[in-house]
Amino acid sequence: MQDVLVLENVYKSFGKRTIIDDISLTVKTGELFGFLGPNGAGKTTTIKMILGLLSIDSGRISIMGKDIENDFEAAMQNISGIVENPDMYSYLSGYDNLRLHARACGAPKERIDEVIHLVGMQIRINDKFKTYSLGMKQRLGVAQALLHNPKIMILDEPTNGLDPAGIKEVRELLRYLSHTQGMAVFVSSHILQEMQQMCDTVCIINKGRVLKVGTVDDLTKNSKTGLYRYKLSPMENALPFIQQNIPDKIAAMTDEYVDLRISQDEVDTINRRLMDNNLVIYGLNAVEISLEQSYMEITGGGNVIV
Amino acid sequence: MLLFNGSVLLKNERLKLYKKPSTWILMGIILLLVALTVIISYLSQYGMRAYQNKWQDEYLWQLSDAKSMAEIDPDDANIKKMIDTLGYLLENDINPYDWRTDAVNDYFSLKHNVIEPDYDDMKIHYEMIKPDINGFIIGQQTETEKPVETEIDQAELKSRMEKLWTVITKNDWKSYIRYKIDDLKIDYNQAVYKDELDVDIEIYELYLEKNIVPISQNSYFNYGFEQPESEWKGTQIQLIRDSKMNLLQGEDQGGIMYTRAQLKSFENDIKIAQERLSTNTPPIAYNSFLGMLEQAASSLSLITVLMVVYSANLFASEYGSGTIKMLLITPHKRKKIFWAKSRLLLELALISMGIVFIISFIFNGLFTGFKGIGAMQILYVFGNIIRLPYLLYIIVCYLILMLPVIAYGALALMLSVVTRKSAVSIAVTLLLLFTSDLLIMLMTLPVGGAVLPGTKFLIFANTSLQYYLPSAQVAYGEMFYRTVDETMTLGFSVAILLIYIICFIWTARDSFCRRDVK
Repeated sequence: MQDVLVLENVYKSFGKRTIIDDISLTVKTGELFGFLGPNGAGKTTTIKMILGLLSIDSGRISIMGKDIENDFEAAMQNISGIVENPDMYSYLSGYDNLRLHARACGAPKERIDEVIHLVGMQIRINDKFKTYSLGMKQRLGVAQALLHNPKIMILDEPTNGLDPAGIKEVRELLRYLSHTQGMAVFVSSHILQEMQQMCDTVCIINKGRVLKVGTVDDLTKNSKTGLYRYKLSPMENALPFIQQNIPDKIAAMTDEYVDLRISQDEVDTINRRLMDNNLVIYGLNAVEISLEQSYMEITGGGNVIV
Repeated sequence: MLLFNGSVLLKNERLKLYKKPSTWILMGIILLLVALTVIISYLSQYGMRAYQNKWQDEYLWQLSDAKSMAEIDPDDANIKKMIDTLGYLLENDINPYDWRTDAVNDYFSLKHNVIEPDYDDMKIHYEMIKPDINGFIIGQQTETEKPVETEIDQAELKSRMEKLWTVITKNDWKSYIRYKIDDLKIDYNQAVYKDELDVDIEIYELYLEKNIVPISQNSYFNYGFEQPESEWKGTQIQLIRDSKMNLLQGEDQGGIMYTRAQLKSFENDIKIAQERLSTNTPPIAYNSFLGMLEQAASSLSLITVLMVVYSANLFASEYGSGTIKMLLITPHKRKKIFWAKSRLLLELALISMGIVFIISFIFNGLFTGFKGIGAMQILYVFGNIIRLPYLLYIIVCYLILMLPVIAYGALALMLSVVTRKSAVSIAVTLLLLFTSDLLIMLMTLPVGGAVLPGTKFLIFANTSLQYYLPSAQVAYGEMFYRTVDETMTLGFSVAILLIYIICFIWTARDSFCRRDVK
């Protein structure tokens, strides 16, 4: 697997405030890379630097081995993206907007029809951009980003403001692009669930620093705590026992099961104690061993939608 | 046309601009105004001509005036001469530009023994004297007396009157000219201003040499009436005479009446008039098709508003709508994107200029029937006489007058790139545009006898290029000739404007290429 996007020790400050503080990361071909962090962590700033909209104070960003500062045009041949919102010329039709971008990127005319098909915009493509719904705008934005067959596509909060169906569509499209077409996709988000469901690799940043990079499996494996669902018998004895002995571990309790938030090491001890008290464990499974835990641990909280 | 082909970026900019409805709405409004200006200027000229007094009416009015004065003072020779002259001119239908006007006037002056007041002789005359003890050179003012008129004996008077009468009745201008030359030569020895007499004699001989029917020199009779086009040759000779007289006046010791630039323009006028006579090229009349087309160039200033709005929106609208991000992440350097947009602006300026030209061409043509479209223009540039088709000359004028328009566009462009707000840019530029005349007027008000130094290098002092163009000076009149000082020429103003345009564009380019897109 080839390195498509490489950031090496990138710094950026606005005035005296340091926004990006030594970020280094690598995105490989066919990888769906999640860029996760709370609001104001520096996600959009990083993306703007990668796309050449902001200058880099120090450090190096290269795309397919081409430095974006010294060899801008060659580097930009391999990248596309949507920053913040898919802003286009509202008085032009969707097709004209695509035509503009295709011409600027050197994409052939047939490719326009291809991407329109890919995002399913055939019916409304000749309407003015301002008449589109947000979901359609997002899809057109993706279509535009796909025009010149870039090696890497950068999307800034692509699911923002979409309904669940829309989110699912985007997720499937991105999976298709990265896993079937072999394109690297770099997605930023502050929504954890989305990242977990979608991405192969996740990079968590906060306050301009990379806190953790790894595959979703890696991150969740090392997680110290998780949610475990116990099904015990007899239930009427079990509930008072748990309430008495480990009240701080209870996440949820019903007539049928008890959810406990415990670390892996604790599972054995708790099991033994339950059995010692003549309680039968007839069901035990890890309900949600999630990124959320790592995330909370890594960032120490923060305004993340779980 | 290398400027306008190729680049995909330029094609994109075109698509964006020309598919924008506001582009065409604004253009439509401006062009409607241009068409209205052309129509109104034609109608106003038409009206002016329709309501202008005929010379016969003017003469009749003067005649009745003189008659009522004669009742008060029946012995006044001047009034008697006037009544006779006007009566004769009216009776024989001699128009104010006919040379016979002078001859008739001369005849009745002799008849009633009127001595014509000679304004030239009453001119204040300076003589330089040697420096005094303190080393100061003082020009001494001496008012020279009019040389005492020698008594003309009755026999000579009679022969002169007879000569004039035959000249008038036979309509023999050549004899009249010879008569005038003889007359001047008689006075020659007594005259104080021999060089002025020389000019007069030279001019009279020119009439004979070129075989051109002269026009009346007596401005008392022909003042305020439109000169007939058929007598343009006489008018040109008259122009040569006036210019030569002005040159004599300017060279008068101590008492410089004209600025150096004006003296130079007199010299040019003489050369051009001589060229016109030798090549038989009539000048363009103010109200002819080409003359009207040339004046329509003044409506190019309307395009300034158009250009300012377009320039201000060119970058600011991209920032405002957020599309700047999409534009900049294409594989093109910002420099190229900037040049594509600037080139579009230049293209737009030329297109709107072309449309203004075509509109005034068509409308003026409809009014005047495209008469005299193939006329030639004669220019005197850098010591060379240049002949070119008048239509081409007008196009060159239009191009020159586009420079200030482009300069204001560049200013708006720079402001919009730096502030990223079109409203700020439009407001500031239009404010400067509309107050520039006032600003320059205030700055050129003499402050202790001197204009503020450096005023002529300001952009506003150089935006009224129409005052430099040859035919426009006639149209606007010398009165409105407004430059900061006499060292300013068309070349100077064009150079200053170009420098400003380059500075504005360079600042804009630098700002656009360097600044972050937040």
